[in-house]
Formats: sequence, structure tokens, C-alpha cells
Amino acid sequence: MSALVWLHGGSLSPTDPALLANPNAPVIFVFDKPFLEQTHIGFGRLQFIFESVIECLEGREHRVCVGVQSEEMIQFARSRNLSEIHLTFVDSPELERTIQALEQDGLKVVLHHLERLTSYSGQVKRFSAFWKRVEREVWKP
Amino acid sequence: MIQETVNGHQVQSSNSSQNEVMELNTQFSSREDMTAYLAAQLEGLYSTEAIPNTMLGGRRAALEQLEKFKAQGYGKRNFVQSNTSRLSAYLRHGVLSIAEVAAHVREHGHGREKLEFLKQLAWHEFFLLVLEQEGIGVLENLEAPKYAAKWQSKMPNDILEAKTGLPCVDTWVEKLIDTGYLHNHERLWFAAYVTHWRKTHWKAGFDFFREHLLDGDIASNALSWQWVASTFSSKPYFMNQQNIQTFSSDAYCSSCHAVCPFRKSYPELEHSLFGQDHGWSS
Repeated sequence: MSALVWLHGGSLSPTDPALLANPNAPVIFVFDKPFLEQTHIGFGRLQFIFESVIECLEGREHRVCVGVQSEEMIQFARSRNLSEIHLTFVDSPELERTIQALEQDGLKVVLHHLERLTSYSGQVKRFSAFWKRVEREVWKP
Repeated sequence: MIQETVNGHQVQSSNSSQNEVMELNTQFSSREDMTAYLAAQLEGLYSTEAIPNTMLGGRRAALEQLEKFKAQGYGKRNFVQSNTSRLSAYLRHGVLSIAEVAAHVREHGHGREKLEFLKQLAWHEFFLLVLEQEGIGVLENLEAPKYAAKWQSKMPNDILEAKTGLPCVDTWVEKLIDTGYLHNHERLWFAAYVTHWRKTHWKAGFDFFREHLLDGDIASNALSWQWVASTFSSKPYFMNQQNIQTFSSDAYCSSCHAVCPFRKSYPELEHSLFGQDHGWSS
């Protein structure tokens, strides 16, 4: 297996599942320039993210950069002959667009998942109904 | 490949097919050094002044914050000065997982306070499940508003500039911009003011919060605004002056000389804001 771990704004812990599953893999984080150019984001958020990224890099080969997210990952993976991109999945339109671009380029994308609070998997509409179903599990799993 | 030096750090840049690419240094002698470096490298890509956060990023800071929080006093969480966890930015960015925060509070919290906090975590998970279910649809009205809403699309400038003349509202805006944080009750008050009093679409509020909140995400942010606006709830959320005075521990009202738009009874507000008596205040 030749894996690259993709850190993104929803997975910034050294204990991130994708990192733990690939203890020797290199890591990449990209400040996505097109997204930041079209979305107003304050400096504080970017600094918070950057500080969190830095703590995830310890002892690993890494690339932290500003650019087009999918292009940067493809370039880094190809340059090191890495064929799999591992990430911890969170629902996000930007994330899904990038995953699509990686797969279109022939890279295998492997999703990891954060542990959830509940095992609930039905439809959701109002919190009160959801809470009735999960309260016992949340209180004592 | 171009080599250049910014703030004493060597930077490598090259041209990709569409955009200039810049690799960032990740080792710094101080936080001030890191802040100045990042501000220079990301210039043009952020919308505010490059002022360092009061809240530290990273797992170490997150664990310190988690360790301090035992949910004491959480039963009074609706009061702005109460002991809230301040963990939301770490949860939003995956620095802490919801499961480990819940495990910590189950171990260290007690009684009703523990349950109240776990219930707030359940709200967080609920919003994520709605996002999973609805996808990008959460950025549009999930339901029709429960009143004849006529919203303007743009956030009024006096709000953005904290110049409404209402000390409470202006303080919320300044606090949001300066710290990247607002207490949940302040978020609700502000959202209600923007949506119902200023007749501004919740999406403008969503954008404003996403810009400034350290924990600004799609799920909690969009769905909380929709909950206030009544496009994800059975009635709009609104408050009166007494509610603000009580839960802010009178931070504004006693010394306020503004003409207060909130100083009415709930039935009066319901009629003036929503055009008729819907029975929401009874």
C-alpha cells in the first residue's frame, strides 16, 4: 500500500482516524486558493486551522501549501508514487468535489470515519423526536 | 521554482496549471512569528485584519480546554456568563471527536448538568445527520417560513459595522469579529434581530457567521439560522428585552439609552414582527 493522508478542515487531530490507520504515510494539507478567493473567511479561522495542522505533522513527511487542493494532492501523490489518498470523511460540498477530482485522475480514495455519539441511522426532522430515540444511548452507551 | 524570503522565512513557489502554488513553513520560534508569516503568505485570501486568535488551535490546547471542563454550572448554560465548554471550534475542526468529549463528560460530570451538556452534543450530531440527509440542501430553506416573510438578501451595513446604535447588538458584532466566538444565546438573539427585526435573509447571517466564527460550519450554522427563521422549525424564534436583560445578567439594559426594539410583550412582538397573532406567544 502506498498511501497519502489528506488532512482537511474537519480532520485536524494527530489522532485522526486516517492518520492512525496510516502511521508511516506522508501527510498533505492544502489551503484551497479558489475556495478562499470566493468565500469570506476571517484570518482567525485560518490561523486556528494552521496551528492545528502543524501538530498533526510530527515525525511525518509532509506538504502544507496554498494552491488548488485537488491539483496539489495529485502532484504530490504522483511525485512519490502514492496511489491511495486516505481521509476522514465529513459532509462538505468542497470535500466531495475534490474527492471526485482525485478519483477521476485514477487515485483510489479511502474514507475513514470519526466515532459518532449515537448509532442512530434513521430519518431526522425535529430534534425532540431524535432526542427521544437517542437519549438513553447518549446518557449511557 | 522560485525561492523568496518573507519575514525571514524561505518560501518556495511554483506555477501550477491555474494558480500559483506556495509551500508553507511549519516551524516557528514563536506564535507571533507564525501569525506574521501566515498573514503574509495568505494575503488576499482572508477577509479580516490578521489579528491572532485568543483561542489556540491544536490538539494540546484542545485537551487542556477539555480537561478544565467538567460541566459544572452547565445547568445555567443559557446565561451568557455561565460556564460553557468552549470546545465547539475543536469539535468543528475534528481536533476533538464528539465521542471523546462525551466520554470525558460522562466520567467527570454530574446529574442534570451532565445530561444538559450531553444533550447539546446530541444537537451537534443531529445537525450533522440532517446535513448527511439533506446535503447541500441545508443552504436553502428546508421548509416554507411559518409567516409571510419578506427578507432582503444583503446584511445591512450598520450591522456589519456594529453601528446599529443598540449597545447589545453592536457588542455581539464586535465580540464575534474580535474573538471568533459568541455564546449560543447571543447567537440566537443576533439571528432573531437580523432575520425578524431587520428582515434580512438567514443566508446573509450564515455567511457572516461563517466568516467570523471559529466554529463556523455548514450544519450547525445553517440549521441554527433556519431554526430561528422558522424554515427548520414550527415557529420563529424571537426574544424580548426582558429575556436579553435576564440572560445577559443585565450587561446592557440598565445603562442603555437607545430606543429599544425589544421592549415589548411577546404577544405585541409577535403581532408587530409577524403581522398577525399566530398564537406562538400564548
